[in-house]
Amino acid sequence: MPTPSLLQDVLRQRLEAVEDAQICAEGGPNASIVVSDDGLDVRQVLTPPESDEDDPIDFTSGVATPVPRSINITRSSSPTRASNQNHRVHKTSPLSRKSLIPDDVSSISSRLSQAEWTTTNGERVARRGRDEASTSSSRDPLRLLPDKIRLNIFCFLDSSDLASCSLVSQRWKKSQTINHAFYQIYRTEMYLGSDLPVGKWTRRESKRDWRSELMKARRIRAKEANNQTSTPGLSRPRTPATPFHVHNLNLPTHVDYDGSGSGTRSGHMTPREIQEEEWAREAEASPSKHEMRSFYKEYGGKRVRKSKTGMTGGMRDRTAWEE
Amino acid sequence: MSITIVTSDNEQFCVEKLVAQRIALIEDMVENAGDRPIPLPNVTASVLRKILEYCEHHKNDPLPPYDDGSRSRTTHISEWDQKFITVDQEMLFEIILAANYLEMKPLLYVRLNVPRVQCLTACNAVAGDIGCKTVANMIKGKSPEEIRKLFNIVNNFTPEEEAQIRKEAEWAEDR
Repeated sequence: MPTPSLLQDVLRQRLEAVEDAQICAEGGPNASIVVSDDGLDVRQVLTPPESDEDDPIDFTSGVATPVPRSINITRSSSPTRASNQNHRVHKTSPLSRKSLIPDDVSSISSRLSQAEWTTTNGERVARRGRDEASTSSSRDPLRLLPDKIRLNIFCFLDSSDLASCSLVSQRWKKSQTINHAFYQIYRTEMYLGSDLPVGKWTRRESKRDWRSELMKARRIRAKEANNQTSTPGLSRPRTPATPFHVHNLNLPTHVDYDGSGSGTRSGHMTPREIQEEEWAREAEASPSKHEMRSFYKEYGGKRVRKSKTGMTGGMRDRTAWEE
Repeated sequence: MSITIVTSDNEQFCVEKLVAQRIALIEDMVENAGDRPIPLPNVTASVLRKILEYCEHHKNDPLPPYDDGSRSRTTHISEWDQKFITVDQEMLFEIILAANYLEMKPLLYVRLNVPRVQCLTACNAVAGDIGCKTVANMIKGKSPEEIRKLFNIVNNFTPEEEAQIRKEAEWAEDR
């Protein structure tokens, strides 16, 4: 059994050694050390750090064959150092529980092997996190990842994949990560082509179900596309009427209405120009003025009144005809 | 000039400085640590070996430009990277986690406003691109049941709930 003062010296030496070797050790060696009678146990706890020069792996050579570090005599029973560390860590807890070591000594011991402690602690924390994840109802490995990375993963998926993701489990259905991914898809689809910055994900966004928003928006868009592609000039009273307006008003686009100059424009078109060209094309395909007139007489203006604007659409059209 | 890194399971790696520079965390620590070995308490040797393998292969690539998040949706992975990332699932997630950890910038640099955040490191490529793309590719085109099997997820919907959700999904899908 070493005397307290001897042990104190040993401890101090080791403290200094650690501070030389480890980066994160703080404080000077002048900490007061109180040692209990149970010197042997303390010594077991406080194994000195080894110098770190043995068996480095040269990565520059491209051959990565790490050699386990030389093992201290005190640890010769275990094959690897990692297991030893865990062993040692466990050893400390019963000791401190029995309060054989005063607090000061255990604090010094933790300072002595601070780097090692962080490694062991880090490892233990990581392992505990894994255990928690695996003991909960789902063993979802994605839950181990930080939000940022999870979002990154889901942002690579398209809406149909995300849809099947939200059918996986209740957690995935409620997942804000997947909701956020839907939100990003929504943005890129609805504001197509513009280089707008990434959408901010705030509390307000998180309260909406972006999947249904996306589906709704897509439905509306599809409906619009359908309306535009279907070209029943007869079923849409406004369509043939408008070109006449255009013609009467002598807008420059009347050339298109004649059906000859649709290719004469330069690349860029305003929405109005696009629309007018479309009208012109429809007018081209539609029957002659007289046929149209008889068609509307047949309906007695009923269809016209049903038009989208709801109000005096029929009146307006009729005036057009009367001119 | 080489740098010594100590992993959580106390293996030492001697890394060429050019390779280590691809890792933001290590690069920052080197400046503070001088000649002393750098401890990486959150990374195991097997994972670090993979990450260094990546850095070694890509050490002469130009650093990718800073990505403001507007990324493309393509999940293409180059041939070498594909081969590199062909590991089991547990390893894949460990690599992603470790790369994410190694990519972290110490607060010091944020405070000093050093413009090094302008470029991404190799580790970001591992975590952000290759790893995430690989996981995304694993999910792609799979049914919910297949995804559950893939990640060992327990289906905790009641049959009624599932039928309800399925109905909603169909309604949503057929526009």
